Amino acid sequence: MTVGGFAAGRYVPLYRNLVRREVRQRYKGSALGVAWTLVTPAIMVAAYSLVFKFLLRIQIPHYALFLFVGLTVWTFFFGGAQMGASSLVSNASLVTKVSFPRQIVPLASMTGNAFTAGAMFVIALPLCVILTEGEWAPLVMLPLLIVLLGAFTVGFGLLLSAINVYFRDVEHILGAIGLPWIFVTPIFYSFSTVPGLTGDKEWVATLLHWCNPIAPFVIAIQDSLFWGEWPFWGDVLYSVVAAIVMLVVGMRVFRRLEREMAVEL
Amino acid sequence: MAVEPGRIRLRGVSRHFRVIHDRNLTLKETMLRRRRTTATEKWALREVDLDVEPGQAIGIIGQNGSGKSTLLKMLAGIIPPQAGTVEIGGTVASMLELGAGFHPDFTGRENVYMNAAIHGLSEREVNDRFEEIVDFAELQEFIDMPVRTYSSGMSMRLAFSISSHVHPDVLLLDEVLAVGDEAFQRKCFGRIFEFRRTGGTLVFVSHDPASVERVCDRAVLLVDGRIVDDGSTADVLATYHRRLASDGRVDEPEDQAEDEDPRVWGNREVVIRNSRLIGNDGPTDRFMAGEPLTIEMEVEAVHPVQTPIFGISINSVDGPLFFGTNTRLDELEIPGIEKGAVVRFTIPSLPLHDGRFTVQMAVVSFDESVVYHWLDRWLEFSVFPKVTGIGPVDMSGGWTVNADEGAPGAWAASVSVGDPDDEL
Repeated sequence: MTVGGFAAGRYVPLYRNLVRREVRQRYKGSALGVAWTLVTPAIMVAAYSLVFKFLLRIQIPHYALFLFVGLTVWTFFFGGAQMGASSLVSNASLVTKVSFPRQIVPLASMTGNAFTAGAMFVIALPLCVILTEGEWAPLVMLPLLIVLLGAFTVGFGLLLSAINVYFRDVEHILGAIGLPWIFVTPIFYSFSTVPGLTGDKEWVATLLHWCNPIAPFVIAIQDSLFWGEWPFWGDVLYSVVAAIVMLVVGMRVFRRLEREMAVEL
Repeated sequence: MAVEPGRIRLRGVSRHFRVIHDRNLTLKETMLRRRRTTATEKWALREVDLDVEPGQAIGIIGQNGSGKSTLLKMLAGIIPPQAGTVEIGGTVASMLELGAGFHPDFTGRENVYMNAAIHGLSEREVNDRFEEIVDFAELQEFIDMPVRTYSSGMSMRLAFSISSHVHPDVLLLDEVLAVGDEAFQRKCFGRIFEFRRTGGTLVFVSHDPASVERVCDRAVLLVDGRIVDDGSTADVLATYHRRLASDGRVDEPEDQAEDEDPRVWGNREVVIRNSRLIGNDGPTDRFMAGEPLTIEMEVEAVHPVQTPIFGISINSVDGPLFFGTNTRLDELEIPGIEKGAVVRFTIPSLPLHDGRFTVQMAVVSFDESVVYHWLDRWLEFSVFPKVTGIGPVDMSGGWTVNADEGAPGAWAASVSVGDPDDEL
């Protein structure tokens, strides 16, 4: 069963329109509009800086910027996953009435979210270049790392969006694990600066580093963008493998569940 | 795919749905009830074979739940078949549920681009057709206003206009022509005829036999997911109506008079216990035009009454009175009723043509000062047309045209419709 052997190009305008709708819908009717993209992370940075820097005394120079870099990665990944997960259900009227490759819907949602993260990145990049003391050369790793992070996010988002059609709980489960997840990810701290994770407790850091699939992405991007150091090869390799595996799994699962989506929604 | 543009080929297509009694399953529920899901399988389509030539206009008719919509969704590629193959040549545009994907906060213009993209049009193509789309929808002044400010008629007009400017090889239409006012509907039909003239294949699903007849030259009848008749629209519609008329037996409830029903009033000294409509084949609520129709009331006198009168009237469902009479007007003397009676009013040949109608019945005292029992718009029935033409009343007749009388090129033509020997 197919409809007139579609060429993927035929659906580019649909994708573009969905993205545009996604972005504009988010800020339409609000007074600050797109500025919210930056206001929310700015407030988060301020609040977390207060807590972690002044109360918990994390020893990282330019702590607010460090935090901002981590939040940018997190926003891209977790925001994308959340947007992707709920996308098919919230676009049910489209999916049940028109035939088109369903991947477009979660992809467009995630792309919409990438604009938010992109705006944060545009602020973070020059600040990192100006303020931090590291080298500039490691910045050349950034495009590769961003592509890997993108692939990982897309795979994860496709997976969740497809499953969420059948089990609506996915959305809620994701919302619930978001907060604990961000705290075990080295965004507010780095493993080396937390007193509880050094010495004989180092295995905890190792565990948190390698069992949390998003942690190596975060660390590698912090290394090249914030610290101005070449990322650890282990993190890069991990990211490559994780991105490929997640993308393949996400696409496979999506394709399997795609056929009956219109019936389930 | 070896199918030429505009051709549709279905082979052995089957599809069933699991009807789960509790929708929106959560993970927890699924885990806990793994073995106890109360699901029943319902066949939507069974072993459907169908070939449609390029340029043909085919109507799919059938009652609710016969599988029409599933078939259409399958043709649209939204729902896959579980067995068999669906092949369609060329591009397909569906007008299932107009306005799917309209976003209320965006302007008409933005929604045009969005909706056209859903149908697979490129931005360039939309630019080229934009004026035409807006003109057709008659929304020039409103196109830059958010769709949420549109009336439902306006958004429907816009949606139809977009879909009809997609120029596909195959167009799927689902009950969409019930939208808009009369004038716009006529425009829609015009648009559809134009599509057919340019060689497009049309698949049309409708409950309204008249519009199928107007648009399609071929029809298939679906009953319980199977194609039971396939042929010229007139033949298939006749089969459909015959089936409807014979299936349409009405189950009478024990006592129809409910106390709180606002359609019922009276002091209930005499009560209409039961009432029904009877056609050629017994009780029914579906009639062919020209069939006999009998209104039957079983009346019980709670207290004996003197000289009651019985009345009936027939209205169309949307209000207007078509006919009403009573036993006093028709000079039938009824001295009195002790216990009960069966009252029948028979119309030998129903002069209605097409539509839904209601029947009201009443028993009142001779001077109409006391209402014993009044059932307002109590029974409903449908009439299906036997001959061409539209409207609720059968006024079919004949045409004659005498052209250029007396001149050398004079000619005359005539036709008459609805002759008794000119049955469908």
